[in-house]
Amino acid sequence: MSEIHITSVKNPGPLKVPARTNQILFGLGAVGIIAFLAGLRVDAPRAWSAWLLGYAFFLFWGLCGLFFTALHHATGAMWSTVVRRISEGMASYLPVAAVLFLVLLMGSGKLYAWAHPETAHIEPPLGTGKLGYLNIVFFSVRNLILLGIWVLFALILIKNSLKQDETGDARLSQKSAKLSVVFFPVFGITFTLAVFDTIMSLEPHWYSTIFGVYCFAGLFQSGMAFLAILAIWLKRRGALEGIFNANHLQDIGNFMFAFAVFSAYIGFSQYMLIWYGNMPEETFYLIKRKVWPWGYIFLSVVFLRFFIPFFMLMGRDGKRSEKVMLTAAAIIILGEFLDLYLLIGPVISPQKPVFGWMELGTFLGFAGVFGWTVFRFLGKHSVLAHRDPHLLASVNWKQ
Amino acid sequence: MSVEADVLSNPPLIPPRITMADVTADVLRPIEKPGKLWYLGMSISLAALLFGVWAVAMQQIHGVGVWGLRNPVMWAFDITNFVFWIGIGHAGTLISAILFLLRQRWRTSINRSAEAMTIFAVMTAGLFPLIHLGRTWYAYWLIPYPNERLLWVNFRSPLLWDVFAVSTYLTISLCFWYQGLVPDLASVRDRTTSKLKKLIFGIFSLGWTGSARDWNHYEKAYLLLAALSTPLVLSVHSIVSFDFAVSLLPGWHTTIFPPYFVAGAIFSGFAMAMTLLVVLRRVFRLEEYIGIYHLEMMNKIILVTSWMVGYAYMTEAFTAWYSENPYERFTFWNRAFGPFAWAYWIMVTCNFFIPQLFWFQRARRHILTMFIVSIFVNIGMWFERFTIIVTSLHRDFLPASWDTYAPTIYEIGMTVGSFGFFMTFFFLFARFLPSLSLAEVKGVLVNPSGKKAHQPAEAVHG
Repeated sequence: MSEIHITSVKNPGPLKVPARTNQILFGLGAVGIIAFLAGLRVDAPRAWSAWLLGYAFFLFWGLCGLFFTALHHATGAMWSTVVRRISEGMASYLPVAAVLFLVLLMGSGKLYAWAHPETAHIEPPLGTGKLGYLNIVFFSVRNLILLGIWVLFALILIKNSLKQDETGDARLSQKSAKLSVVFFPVFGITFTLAVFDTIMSLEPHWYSTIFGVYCFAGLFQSGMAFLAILAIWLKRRGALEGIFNANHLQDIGNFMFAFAVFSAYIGFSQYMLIWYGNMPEETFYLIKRKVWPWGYIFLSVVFLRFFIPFFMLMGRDGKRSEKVMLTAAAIIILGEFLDLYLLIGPVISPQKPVFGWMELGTFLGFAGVFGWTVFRFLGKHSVLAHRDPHLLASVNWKQ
Repeated sequence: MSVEADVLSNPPLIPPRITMADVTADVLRPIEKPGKLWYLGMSISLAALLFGVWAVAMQQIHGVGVWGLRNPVMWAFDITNFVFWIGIGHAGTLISAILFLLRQRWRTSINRSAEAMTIFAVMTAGLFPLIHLGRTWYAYWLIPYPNERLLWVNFRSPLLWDVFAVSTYLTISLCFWYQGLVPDLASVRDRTTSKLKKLIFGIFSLGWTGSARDWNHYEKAYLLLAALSTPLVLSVHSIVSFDFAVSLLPGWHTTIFPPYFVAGAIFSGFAMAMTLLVVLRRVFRLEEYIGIYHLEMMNKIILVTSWMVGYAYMTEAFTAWYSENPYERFTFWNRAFGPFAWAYWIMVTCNFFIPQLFWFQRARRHILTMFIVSIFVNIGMWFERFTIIVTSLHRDFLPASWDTYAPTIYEIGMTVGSFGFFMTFFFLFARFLPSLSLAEVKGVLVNPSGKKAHQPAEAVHG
């Protein structure tokens, strides 16, 4: 195990982002803007709902980048050094997400029933104290603070990492580790508040204590899937050639597998307890989401996020194969997308799913912005944390 | 590069001068000749056990009425103890299964005793449903078997799921523990001079020869068992949490219960493991094997799980307010400021505030501090279950039936006795079986043969 094959890694430098990729990403962004603006004219609540879907989906990926980076530092992990710059790239999206949230605020009146209690059917129990919490002003301030906290953590961790590229100072890793440790409790609380606010409060009467954990499970699972895709892509383009290999891929696969199980566990816990309790103030949320035709999406999520990746990634060979991992990652990402759609969509269209150019276009727009941010980051800085003291241990990692 | 790496690299798990021969000698010493402290500990445990035997005997003779239970609090100490002890077991499974899969090599010094702890804790926990039956001799009615009266157990009850979950857990944990013991039992067999011991250990070491083939099979089986036990870490305490969460009672019926109980179980299990290890390493002079580094890592896990439990407290309280459900709100208000507020604040203080000490490295590496914190966590986790169970029951939906609860000597005796039962087994284990995994500790030695060092400390990192 301890034999060293590679004794030095040369700086692969920043990624040369192909002009075509940038054009495509810009194109997607433009499609998004057009679809969203046109959507606003046609059916404003639906357009805002699509905006929220795109916002939440990519915010989760940004947060996953931050979470993974912090996890790497806090646990003193070695193997993940080779992909850490990629996760930092994902985290670099967070400031952009904050800006996109400002746009979301403009539509919060259309999205959230609690924003206009007089017209929406806000029944008696709601209103005594909750509206003091769920109102546009407090909602905006609170969520901007939460975003601010994440951005701060992301910027400092990224700054330390980039500085280490120049100086090679191992103490920077220690500094990041200390900061990362603090990040976890902060993240637990802030993330829960954020998803309670932005997603759970879409149904102002409904509550579930596990909701934060549920969203986190999807966040990490799909974020790892994206990390796998990006790492494989970078390797195939030569940027991580000879650095990122099947051993690292297997570890990312381990995470994807573990979180397939974890997300199923959390989803089951929530579903089973509400089903068994059978109290109308809880069950209505699930009933809305599992009667046909929404039920098709409900079932798809179960398969896409759990059964299929579970069997694909159970064995060692699957996790080491780029083909299998790419397929599994795509399936997981689709599953997470549908899951978020299932949380958000039925609010504006309880009868049946509506998914058209508006939703697709807006989502692609977000994808374009996210992709552009990540590539800009990787195009500016080396794609590898090439002076990290753990780099050689990571490059030589075998299992 | 290597100079820079030194800042971040971990120290060797075991002091470099220790060789394979030292490991065998040091770990097996207590088996061959126990010290005075062992006899002292064993006597105290047996005394506690005896108290428990008396309390349970009285309860069996006179019925469950000797307990302090009265409507509406019909569940209290018994189920609290059950959940508490099941939880204690989780550290062993986490260490042997999940930390193994996560390649945490510091687990090697502590996994054996933690696994043993798991088994004894589950055994202890298993007593309580049996005791609570009142007519314990009908315990086999819990098992669904074809019978002439066509009576079936209630498959819809989570209490029945417990029967399956806990018995599966015990079985797998036992297999896991025993499998790890096999090579070490063979070491004892090969070293002992007593004929009887040679026979007994010879039988239980299953003809282990230590050949490469043996090891190959061993490693495969270990990996598979680790993968099999990993879901068990989650499932057992999730099902225990269902005992409460499937009800409609505010404070019990909440969706975060499964992961919250699992985190709490790991938390309490690590605290108990810490309490035992601090004593064990001292009594058996194993300080060099269970070093400060191992204990520090455990303290980090205690801090992390303390936050998970704290997160659950916060989420529950916040959601109770957010729900605007008057019953939920009342229950949580009543927990924090009602008649059992003292239990609630013991729980929060011991489980959340006190472990925050472990943010500081000095506290994480200070033996007395960690010992005291671990005791507090044990207390806090016991009170957590007590708080959840009793506060939700004593103020139910009908104010006319509100009442309070106080335990009698029989419940206290049963609780003390459970500690005696658990500790007795633990002392027997420490006396008769290698309390460290010889084979695994040898795997992390820096310089196994005792020759001049040439291998870098690389082996330490996972």
